[in-house]
Amino acid sequence: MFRILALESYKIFKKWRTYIGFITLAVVIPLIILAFKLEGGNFVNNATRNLQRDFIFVGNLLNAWFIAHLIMNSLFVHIPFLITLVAGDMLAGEATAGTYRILLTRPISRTKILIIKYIATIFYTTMLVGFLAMLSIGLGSIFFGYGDLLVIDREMLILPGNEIWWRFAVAYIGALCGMWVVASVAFFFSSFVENAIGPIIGTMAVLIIFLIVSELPVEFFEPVKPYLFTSYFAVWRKAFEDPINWTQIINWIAYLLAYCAGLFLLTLYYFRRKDVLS
Amino acid sequence: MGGQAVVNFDIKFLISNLTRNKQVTNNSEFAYKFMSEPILQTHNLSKRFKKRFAVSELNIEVERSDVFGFLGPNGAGKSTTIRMLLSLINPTSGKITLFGKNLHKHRGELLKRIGGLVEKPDFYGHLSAYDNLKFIGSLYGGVSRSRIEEVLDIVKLKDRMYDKVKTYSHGMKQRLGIAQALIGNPELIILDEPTSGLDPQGMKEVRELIRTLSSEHNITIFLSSHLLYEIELVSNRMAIINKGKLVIQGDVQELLNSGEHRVQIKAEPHEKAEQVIKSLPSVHLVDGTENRNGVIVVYTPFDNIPALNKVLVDNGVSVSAIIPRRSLEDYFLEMTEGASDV
Ligand SMILES: Nc1ncnc2c1ncn2[C@@H]1O[C@H](COP(=O)(O)OP(=O)(O)OP(=O)(O)O)[C@@H](O)[C@H]1O
Ligand SMILES: [Mg+2]
Repeated sequence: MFRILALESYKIFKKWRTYIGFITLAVVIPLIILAFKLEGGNFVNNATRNLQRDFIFVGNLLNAWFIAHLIMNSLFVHIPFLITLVAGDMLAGEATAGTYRILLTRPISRTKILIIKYIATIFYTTMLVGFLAMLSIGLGSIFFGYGDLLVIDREMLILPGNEIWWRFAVAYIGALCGMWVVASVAFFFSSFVENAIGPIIGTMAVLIIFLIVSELPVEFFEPVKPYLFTSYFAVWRKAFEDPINWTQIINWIAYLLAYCAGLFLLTLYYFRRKDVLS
Repeated sequence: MGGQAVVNFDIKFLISNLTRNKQVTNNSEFAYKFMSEPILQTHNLSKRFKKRFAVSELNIEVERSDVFGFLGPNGAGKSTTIRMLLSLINPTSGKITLFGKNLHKHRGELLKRIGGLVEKPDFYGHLSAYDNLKFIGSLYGGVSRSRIEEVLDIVKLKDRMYDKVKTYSHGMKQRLGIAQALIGNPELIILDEPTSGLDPQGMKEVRELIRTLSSEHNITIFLSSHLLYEIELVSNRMAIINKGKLVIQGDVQELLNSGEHRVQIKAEPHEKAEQVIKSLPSVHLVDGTENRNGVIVVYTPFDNIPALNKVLVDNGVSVSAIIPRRSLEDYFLEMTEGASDV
């Protein structure tokens, strides 16, 4: 099983499309950092102008943490797209290439194949989010160093530097769970079709609709919001609240994981019975 | 008289061809008597797509050591049957037994003992042949490097094994298709039109490969084709399928030699030849439109042809050609057309 998983991952990383996500991040993140290097001082000054009347800011607020937080905030719709490129191709790609015929005629059950493929998808997603984290914190620290974190959410908050390591760890885990759900949706759609384009567009459509519904402050949508996975995407922001609401964070992460499990089981149910005609 | 020699040569060639095949048949019959064991059976196997039956109530039986030809025109249901045999699709009804066990119930265990490929030989184009086989081998629980090299050697691809498969020609992919069927050391391999898209030389090589796999590696082979002569060249037993239904199944040579052959005769003088032929009880002369341009068309059992030739020559007729047209191709067309009328 482990050998097949290693080879399945090898298959993914031998594909050109796999690198689109990594290359995109490797271009975008340095660009953001460059922009802040050139103009960032003003940005922080403007944001903290009101407070500056009452407080004296000590140290460096434009730092790696600030950058990492900002990047997480701004890439939320874009990272899913990069994920679907690969996740949407996981099963459909085998149909397109005709390789279902060599994959599913072997003495290994479809259940096992699907588990391996799903783990590989999750692995890729994790790598991509990990790359994002490493690049934003790593490059940020090189250019700006560390310091306290200024959070401009509903209210403005300054979190002391010694707490920030674990808060970011929690935030990235939360964000990762959200991305796993996106990957699971694309994986699910991928099992039905013979071309990756459908799952990619389908997942993005679902994501955009869900995001709009769950972010719109409209009474009408309230009843459905708890059922939309996008309502729990913001779990990573909860890591930067003070005091931190652990129960909520754990619940939300659990919801996201339940979505992953549910989607996987649905995919499995269909995949096991599927007539392979490609 | 020179012309006659040529004809005789043709007949000799045909006969030697037939007897050579017959020996193959006899050998496998010999084997069959001692180890008669159906290793692949379908029982009223049917597959329906929407309202149409692609395969309907199919019963076929492949014995160990057979080279079994599964013959049918385009759209007959060959690939659909093979997809069911390889567990890619579920039968609508009926069942499949391999090595005496139900495929549906013992899928993993049974698929370990077979190898196959349905339709086009598609691979992971961005990986090398070696990596493709390594991946496929992992689905059998892993294969050694030497095994991969061995099967690539059998299909003569070893020197290209590190090239990406997308750089392969169709013929090379077709051979890689056979290699991947062999990777798990199967007792039975199932190949879907393994010579399709190949040039005559490529087809010949694949046929030779199939014979080698059967005789030297002792692998039972199930192969589909829409070309009768191909089945005639490699198979000892066959089934003909048309519109999803089994038309006939049996020993290739028996099916071939049964019935009368349609024979074209070119002889001078024409009237004399016709007269002689009319006097022979086991030869039926065809009158009418076909009987033109000095070509006489008769129906007669294949074994009769040498005698027919002798009688004509003894009666002073000069024979320049005797062409038995009762080829497998004719037989095949007759069977499938007959079936389509039903
Ligand atoms: N996915 C499908 N949906 C609907 N009908 C199908 C499907 N696949 C095959 N068929 C039908 O099933 C019948 C048998 O097709 P199949 O591919 O098994 O034929 P075949 O004998 O392999 O033909 P060929 O020599 O052209 O490969 C055809 O009538 C075909 O139209
Ligand atoms: Mg076919």
